[in-house]
Amino acid sequence: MIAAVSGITAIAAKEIRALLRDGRLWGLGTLLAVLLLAVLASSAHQRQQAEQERRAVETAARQQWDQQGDRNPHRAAHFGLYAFKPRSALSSVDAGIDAQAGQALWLEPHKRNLAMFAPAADAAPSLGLGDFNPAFLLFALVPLLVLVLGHGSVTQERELGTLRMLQACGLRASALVLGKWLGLSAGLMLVLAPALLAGGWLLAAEQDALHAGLLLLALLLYYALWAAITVLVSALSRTSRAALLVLLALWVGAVFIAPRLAASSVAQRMPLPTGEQFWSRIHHDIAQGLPGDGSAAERLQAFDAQLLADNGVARLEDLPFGANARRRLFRDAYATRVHALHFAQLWDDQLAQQRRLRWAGVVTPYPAMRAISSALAGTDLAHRQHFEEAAEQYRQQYTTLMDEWDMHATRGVTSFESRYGGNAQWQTMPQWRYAAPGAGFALRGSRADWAILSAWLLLALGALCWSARRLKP
Amino acid sequence: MSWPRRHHWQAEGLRLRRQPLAWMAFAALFLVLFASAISAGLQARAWRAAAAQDPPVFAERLAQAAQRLPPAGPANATALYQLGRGELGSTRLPVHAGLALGVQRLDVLPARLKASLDSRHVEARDPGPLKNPLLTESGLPGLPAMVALLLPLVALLLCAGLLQEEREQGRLGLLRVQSRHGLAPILLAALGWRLLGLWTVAALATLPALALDPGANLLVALQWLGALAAFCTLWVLLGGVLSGLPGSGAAAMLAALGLWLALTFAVPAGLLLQAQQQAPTPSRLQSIVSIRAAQHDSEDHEQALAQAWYAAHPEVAAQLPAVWPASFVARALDQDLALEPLAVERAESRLEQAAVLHRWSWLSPGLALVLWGEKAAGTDVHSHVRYLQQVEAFEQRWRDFLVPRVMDREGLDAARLQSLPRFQP
Repeated sequence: MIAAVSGITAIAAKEIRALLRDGRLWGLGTLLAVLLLAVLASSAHQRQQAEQERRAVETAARQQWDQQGDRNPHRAAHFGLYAFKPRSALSSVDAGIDAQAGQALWLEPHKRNLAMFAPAADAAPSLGLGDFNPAFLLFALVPLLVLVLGHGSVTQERELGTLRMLQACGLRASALVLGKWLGLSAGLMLVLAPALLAGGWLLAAEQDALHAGLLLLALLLYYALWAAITVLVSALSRTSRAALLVLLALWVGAVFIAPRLAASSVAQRMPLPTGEQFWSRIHHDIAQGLPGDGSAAERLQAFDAQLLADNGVARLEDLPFGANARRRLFRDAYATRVHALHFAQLWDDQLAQQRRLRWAGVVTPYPAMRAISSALAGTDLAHRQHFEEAAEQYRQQYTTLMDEWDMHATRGVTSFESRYGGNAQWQTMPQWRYAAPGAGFALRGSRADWAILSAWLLLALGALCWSARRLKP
Repeated sequence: MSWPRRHHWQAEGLRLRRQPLAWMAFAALFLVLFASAISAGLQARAWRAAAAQDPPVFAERLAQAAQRLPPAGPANATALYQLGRGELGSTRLPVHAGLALGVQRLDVLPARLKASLDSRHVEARDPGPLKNPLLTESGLPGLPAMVALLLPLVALLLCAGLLQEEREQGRLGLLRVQSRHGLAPILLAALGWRLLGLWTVAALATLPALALDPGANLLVALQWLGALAAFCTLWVLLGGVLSGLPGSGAAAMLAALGLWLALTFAVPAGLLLQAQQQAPTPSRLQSIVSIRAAQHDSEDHEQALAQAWYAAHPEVAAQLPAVWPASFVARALDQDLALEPLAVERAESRLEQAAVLHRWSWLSPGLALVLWGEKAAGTDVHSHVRYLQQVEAFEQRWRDFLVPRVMDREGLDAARLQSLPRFQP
């Protein structure tokens, strides 16, 4: 056992020395590290600007609300409020779905809206292979560096004839491949550590250490996995060239092909309703009623009758409170219920697609790594849902408060043209404050992805040990 | 320089045929491109099928609306107002014969805009297609992009290192001595076979996309084959050049990889950055403040706006003070007037960015191929901006027809609904 460990250590130390003497590690590693820092700095700067803008627009939109002047309260409510999703510092690393999702939610009475203004719709034409951002560098290009550096780790020993010599010295093959794996991982970390630490420092001011630490841990697992795959392929290949070609094919397949084919297949097999279908179902259920509820006209008629009976009057005009506002509260409560049903179904469908995608993409570790990083960055579907649900709660809260005030401030039936609300009233509406969920939420949402990534690493290490048994000079 | 002769072609063809690695590379390329082509073809087919349903759906909705229209009077005008905000004003982005080559853009572009009596910048804003952002983000990038991603890799794999390999195996001197016309015809024949193989595989794998699309035609298929041929030739030549460089086969492979990364990822990213700096995209968030200002302003001057509208249309009897829906129509018209410059600014910025990318796209063959595909599909920036203008013009006709009938509070005879404007791009 001690001999095996010392063999592994010796090989790892030799591998690190060889890598450090190899111009490729310093050349390509430094290039990638500098590129990573530059892209990360640029991305962090863009995020800071975007956050400044978001805060400014949020404040301006609220001021516009507060300063509406004299209005009919229902019309003032229709002026609406906006909810903007804040971006975490880690979203500079992985923007996740943010480019494809709307940036602003318009909150108005009667209706729950979808987020608007997806940046992708305004984006300039591109290849569509993803942005050249820190996530691309960390999750796609660093693995490429690993395989470029490590593809000859075992094949070179074979090509130079030193593999036979090592075996003749009594070195166990498993110690050789594990040492190579450790050496490659450590060499890579030596070159990337300054860039990763500097990147962490760039983000540290605005991101708690736990999220960043978890991302670093996931990255270590991910790189260790790629190093294991690289040494495995090298051990199984006859020549360095063949190893490089196989690894390149695996890399392209893992990063670009398999995840995209999986996503496309999920989209085709589990389609979402079109926008037209989605909204017309909501309109239908509000107008015709959910099973057993009767149509909107019937519901309102029954409600009016009950209202008049409860208050002992014969006409809506004689009610001791605002009839329009009371009826609106009734109608909107129903509309909110219908919207909640359909939106819940839409979210269920999207999360089901995500689950299917996770298992369809299990053939490569790349989607799991992306899922973990976007969960930690708060740019995944679960965080989007959390934000939209919170915004919906706020929409219900402010529209109800507006209608309740309207109901108590008036009597009988009032005209929509009369303006009996003012700034003092608008300013009493609570401010929108969104608290993003913590690390526990991100971990819960991505536990399956952590499991997949860990399983991949264990599988690769197992395969590495198995390859050692078949290692021939 | 002498050209390859028959024996050169025979020898190099045999050599390529006996390389299992080449067969594997061709097979992998074929499978992935074929899957992408099927996906793109089916998407294009679905779009055309939905588009074919538009006229009957319109006719059915129109008939239902005509049935439900109350007799002339305020109720009719209100019904007409609701109709003018409804689905009858739906439009669809007109696409071209090469739709399968740029169909992925329909996942993100607003392609089903609606003419409305509401402001399209305020109440009737289009949130875009209903898609899972996760699948759009990680889905297939489109057929030309898949070609741009994979074909260069296979081309470089097959071509870079050709001569270095001969040198490393000690055959280069022998070849030089044996060949009466030098190495050029041998290299040309080797590259020629690779070019033919790549083009054939790419063509066979991607043509099903156009075959599945009922709107595709022979001309676009021929154009696509031509574009593929040019793209293959370029990458095979680059591979040939790399194979002639001094250094080892491994170094040539690394150089090829670097070249691929630079031309496929780094150069397009740089061009995008340049385009954004040259014509910054106007902020959507900032536009919200302008939208609200326009909303606020029109609400404050609602009666004045209605009065001004009636003054400008003496043929319509003024109904003052204006009440809903007439008051809302006047407001929406004013909001659009105030917000239209923002939309124009955005369209100009998009056009300028696209122009920068087009001007420099020769620096990245992959980007050039993708831009060409989008143009053939009719989903490029120019086509989309043209669509926005067509919707704008249609909305003008839509409102010219409906607004006077809402404002006079008399409405319209059901039979006259047949003259409702249709979107005709």
